[in-house]
Parts: sequence; C-alpha cells; structure tokens
Amino acid sequence: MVGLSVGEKHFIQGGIAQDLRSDGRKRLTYRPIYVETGVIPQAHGSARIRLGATDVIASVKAELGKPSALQPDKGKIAIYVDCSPTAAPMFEGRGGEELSTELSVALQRCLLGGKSGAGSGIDPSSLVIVEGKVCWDLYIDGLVISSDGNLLDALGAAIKAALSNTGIPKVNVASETSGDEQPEVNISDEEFLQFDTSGIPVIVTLTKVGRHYIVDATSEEESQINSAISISINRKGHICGLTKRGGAGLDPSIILDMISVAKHVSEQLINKLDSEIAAAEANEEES
Amino acid sequence: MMQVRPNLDYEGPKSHQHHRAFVFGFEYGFLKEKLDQKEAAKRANEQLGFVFDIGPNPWSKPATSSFGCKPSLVKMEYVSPEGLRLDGRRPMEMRQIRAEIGTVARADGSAVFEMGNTKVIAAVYGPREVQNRSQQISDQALVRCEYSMANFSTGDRMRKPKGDRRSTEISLVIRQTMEACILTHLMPRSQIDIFVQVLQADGGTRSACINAATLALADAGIPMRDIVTSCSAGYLNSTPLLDLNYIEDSAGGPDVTVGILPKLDKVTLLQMDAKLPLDIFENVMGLATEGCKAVANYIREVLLENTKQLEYRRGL
Repeated sequence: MVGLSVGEKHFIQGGIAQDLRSDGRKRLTYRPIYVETGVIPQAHGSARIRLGATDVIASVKAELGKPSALQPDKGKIAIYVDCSPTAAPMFEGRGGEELSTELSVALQRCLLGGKSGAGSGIDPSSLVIVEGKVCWDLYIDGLVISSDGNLLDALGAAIKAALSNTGIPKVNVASETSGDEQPEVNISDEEFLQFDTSGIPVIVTLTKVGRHYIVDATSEEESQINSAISISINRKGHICGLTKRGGAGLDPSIILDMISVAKHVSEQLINKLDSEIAAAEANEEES
Repeated sequence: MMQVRPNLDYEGPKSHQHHRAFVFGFEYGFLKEKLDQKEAAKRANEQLGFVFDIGPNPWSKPATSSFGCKPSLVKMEYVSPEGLRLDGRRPMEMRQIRAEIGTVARADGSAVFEMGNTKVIAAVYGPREVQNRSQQISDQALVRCEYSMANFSTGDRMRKPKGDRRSTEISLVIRQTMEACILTHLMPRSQIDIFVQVLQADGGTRSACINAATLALADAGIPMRDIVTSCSAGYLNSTPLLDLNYIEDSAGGPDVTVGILPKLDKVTLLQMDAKLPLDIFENVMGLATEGCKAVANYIREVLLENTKQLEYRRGL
C-alpha cells in the first residue's frame, strides 16, 4: 500500500473525531456485507463474504479420523487461514505467513474455546461417531483474496456462513467391533446433517484512533491505529474470546467501555449477518 | 523388460480407477484368454489407440487381486459409442467459459476465469518499482509470477498450498509465457507481478491460469504484443478430446497444453506428457489450437464489453 501523507493522516483522524469517516460512514457502522454460500461445490460447506473491498472465502471439509486419546468423546476442529498473494504483493511466497498465523490463532481462540474444548462455539461432541474410534475431523480453511482492512471480522463472518451451509453426511456404523478394530462406517451420499450455528459467535474489531473507536476499519484507517481489540460475542451477549493488537497501552476502563460498545454493535451485526446468510442460501437453492 | 509409464502427474488423489484404461489390456490378456504379453499389448493398442509397453509392475498382475475388478468388468469408457464424454460433451466441445474483470479492487488489474469447474483468480501488480534492487534489469521490466492452489481446491484437502514442485513449475511456465508477450522494453527498471490463485481445480488449471493472467494484464493496462490464450487437449479411446477435465486428465492418456498468440498465430507454450504417434499428435495439437482461438474470441468480447462499460461510466 502506498504510504499516507501527513495531510491524509490528519484528514482520517479528524473525520473519525467528527463521526464522519472518509467513505461517509459513522464510527459504528459496518460496510455493506455481501454473502454468497456454496461457492466451493466439492467442500461440505463454503461461503464468500465481501465487506467493501475485502473479499474472503471460507470452506468446511469433514474427513473421518480418530479422536485423540485424551478426549475420546470429541471430534477435532482445525482452522487455517491462508493469505493469497492476490490480496497484496507482500503475501508472495512466505510473506503472508505471519499474518496467516496471526489470523488462524485469533480465530481459533475466538471460535474454538479453550484447550479442553470448553466454551467452543461449535460443539465438538456432536462430531463423534463411535466414541474412542471414529470421529469427524473438521477442517475450516479461510482464504483472503482481497484485503481492505478488517480481515478478522470478515473471516469470522465467512466461517459462520460456511458452517451454516455445511452438511455433514450421515454415517451408518456397519458392524459392531470390539477391542482395537476399526469399525466399518458407511458414509451416506443422500442424507446430510445441518450444523446448528446459533451458538457460533461473530467477531467485532474495535479500532482506537485518537480518542474514538471505530468499527470495520479500512486499511487506510488501520494504518493509523493506536490499538485494536477484537471481541467475539455470541447471540446471548456472552464474550467468547478477546484479542488485543497494537502497541499502545489501554486503560482498563477504556477496555470495558470498548467491550460494551462491541456488545451493542454485535447485536445488529448478528441480525444483519443471519438475514444475509438466509438470503444467500435461498438464492443458492433457487439457482 | 519394458515398463508401463502411466501419467502420474495428478493434481489430486490416486486411485486404482485412474489406471483402468491400462488395466484393460491386462485383464483381457491374463484372464480371458491365455495371451502372452505382446498379444495383450497389441489388443489393448487396437482398443485404446496408442502404444504402451508392459512389464513387471503392480498393474500387470491379474485384475481381481489388485483392484477387485471382476473379469466381466467393461473397460473405462471415456467416449461412449454414441460419441459422448463422461460429462456429456462431444469430443470437440470445450467446457463452458466464464470471465470477469476487476474482481480484486486493490490490484492494478485482476480477473476471474472459469473453464467448467476450474476456477482461477489472477491479480497483476505493476509496473512498479523493483523491490529487490539486485534483480533490477536496466533495459526491461522484470516479470514475476506465483501460482498457488487453495487448500480446498482439490477433492482431497491439500496440506501445502505453496512451494511444492508442481506449483513452482507452473509458476515458471506462466511467467515465461506472459513474458514473451509483454512489451518489457517499454518499462525498464520496473517490476510486474502476476499472482494466480486456484479456487477450484478440475483439470486444465494451467490453461485457465494463463487465460486469467492475460485478462488481468489487459485490465492493468500493461502493453502486450497480443493476448495469450491456452487450452488443453488429449487422446483417449482413439478420439482426440478437447479441454480435458480432471477425470479424463488422470486417465493416463496424453495431455497436450498449447498457448498461442492468436493474431500473430504463433505458439508460445507447448507441453505434453505421455506418448503419442506423430500424426495423431498433429491432430491433437491442431485441436488444442482451435480451442485456444475460441477462447481468444471470448476474451476479446469480454475486454470489449469492459471497455464499453468504462466509456459509459466516463460519460462518453
């Protein structure tokens, strides 16, 4: 990205202070969100989200695997994000690895809960088929095609949309086996189980520029951040994860204030996202 | 002893089904009648239409033990007797093409290109200042290219989307092809980056990438001698087939990829694997070139439409 001049920086900061950003939005307004589901036919579920010029695709693939010995009654979920070099030339080769890892870890923290699986947005016990032997391994892959700021929110929304589009095939356990034998499983091609996505949180990133917070920063605004907090909040208003980025220190009272602002914003975002996802799935069924 | 050399450069999982075209010869030879190996090869050659050798390898065992195929199994037909392929196309028919320009807003030029189920995004950044001074060329532009496949693009999830040998090779191929047609001497000491991302892979990704890169370069306004278009063709069941999809590609038959400059009528890219007799090769290459010309017509239409849109927006 080309650097900003001093005049441009003042313009951005001044606009934010006056509640009128460069593209005319208010501080707490999101850019228009476009959702498309079912973009990757060979995945079990997929979605593409466009937030202004930010464009991300999320896909969900389920493979049969063995549950870990420590948690035999739970399936496994893994989230990987890849930044495509089409989004920015600096993502070429290994350049995008740092950002990809940061995004993957932040998403895992926000959506998957702690190490024991407690507090996860997706219930891992619903993924087990035969306890201790066969379970579903869920691989959630995110791909950033075009980046104009606010990648974490877009990826969180894309994963939520992809999961609501996911159909896990029904499995019939063919025979009763005992001991260490692997049971035979038949994967049905016809029936699918839909995921229950009401518990999946959305991620809201609040960026502090000067003395005010904005939601959904573009990459120009992101270059001016003092600090940013990404909070994942679910439908009930519970906080599922929190990440602070940026070098500047924050007063604890400001953090609490930002959390309450994020809660308020997240209600609208969840409603908007749910209606967009429903519309996208209806579109997909028609076509 | 002679060796069977099926095409193992697949983009995805290997399964015994890929080699059924070859297995036919052995099924017939070893199970139905007690033919010796040469007879079996001759029979298979008549049926499949191309020469291959046989020798000590896993596929020369009787079919039932290795693959669970029964002797009564019919060989894999890529072209039915009525002349239809597995997806219902005629042998000379291409898959449906769709292109869109300007999808990545931040790039200088970008395009999405779809050939059937193969979907590819290309983005061009440039001409811009060379990032690595040591690579700067004083009298022409430096062209760089990177090809990467998304984790979810193939049937089985890929673990390592970049840096594997196939991606490196295709990056090189695309770079050389595009470099031949860009007027690099007009932009000395600068750099042009072409990034291609495969979203869905169903055979012919190389060709789709080159077509997408052409559109993206045109969208970026980079001066070129001519557009470059590419298409692939193969030869299965004694029929030349245009625009192979993944199943046909992994059948083990030859796969010819051709890239041309349509107006100048010159070939810039030619790759083939497996074996073909020379006269059949001329046929197949001619077919691929026809496919390239059809793609070129479509690309020109898309670019014309795009220019009309731009004119309209400027109020002309």
